[in-house]
Amino acid sequence: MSISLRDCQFVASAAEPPWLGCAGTGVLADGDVHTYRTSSAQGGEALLTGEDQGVEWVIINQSWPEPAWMVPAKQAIERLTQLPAGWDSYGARRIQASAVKAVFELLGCTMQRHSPVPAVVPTATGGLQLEWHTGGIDLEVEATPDGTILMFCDGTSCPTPQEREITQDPTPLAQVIATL
Amino acid sequence: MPQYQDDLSIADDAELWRRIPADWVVWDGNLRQMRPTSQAFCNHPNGTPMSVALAHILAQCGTGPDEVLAGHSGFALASLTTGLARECGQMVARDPLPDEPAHALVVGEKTHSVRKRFASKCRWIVPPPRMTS
Repeated sequence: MSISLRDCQFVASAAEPPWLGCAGTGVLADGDVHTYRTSSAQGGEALLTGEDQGVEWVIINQSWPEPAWMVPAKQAIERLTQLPAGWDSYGARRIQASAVKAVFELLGCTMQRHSPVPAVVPTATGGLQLEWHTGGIDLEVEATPDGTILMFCDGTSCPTPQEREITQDPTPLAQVIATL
Repeated sequence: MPQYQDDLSIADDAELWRRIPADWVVWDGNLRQMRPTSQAFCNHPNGTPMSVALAHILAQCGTGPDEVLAGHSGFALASLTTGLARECGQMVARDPLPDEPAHALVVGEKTHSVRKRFASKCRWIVPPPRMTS
């Protein structure tokens, strides 16, 4: 049996609305808690698909306002993908699609609605780096072309400077972003 | 892989200039200044050392920032001292090229802490024309 938006309505979420490929939990109008995973998010609309207790359900075109950080972050990433090889005058490579995908997924999983907009910079090897330098915190997250995600944190939320790989678990990043 | 040596004839106060494209300039709200990103101080993608220009050699040749930035519209120019590079475990080696007699290399692993230190301690020779996010 499938349940569509016509049968139930997404009411609230236990956490921030998910964006761009992240998993989360939500409460549907039928009162049950369901897990869901976004498959796309465009212009504030999300297609959610999930499965709970063997029942497939689909919520389509559920809209909510985009967070303020999303548009400038997307615009910055899109602009950087247009950089030609050698953009840095020292032989830099073009930004790789794998890094772009990793960054979008990372933003979706870790940012909150009111999180500050990250600076987005290209790396010479074809990756992308997100940066926040505010409130005594220096936070940098590098997505390399091979899909590795590295986090560097220093400051009030990180008494000891941290360098760690968060490819499989971005939770540490989400925790620091929550303090920004 | 060439073997590099730290050229001690390059004094600690000798300046090393590095071009900074606009996309590598970030606002640091903690330092309250625009500065290069840490990504601006990596080795070449092919693994060779980081390229810089020796400011005093440029001066000897009668050239300066304009020549370093020629053909690179919108770029800024940042300066590190050789002493800072050596404090960060790097070597500085001359590597003159036919068209760049002042070309040099900063040799060594560019860990994040090294790159971050370069980014926060460098000074602008030619500041960025505008702030980018």
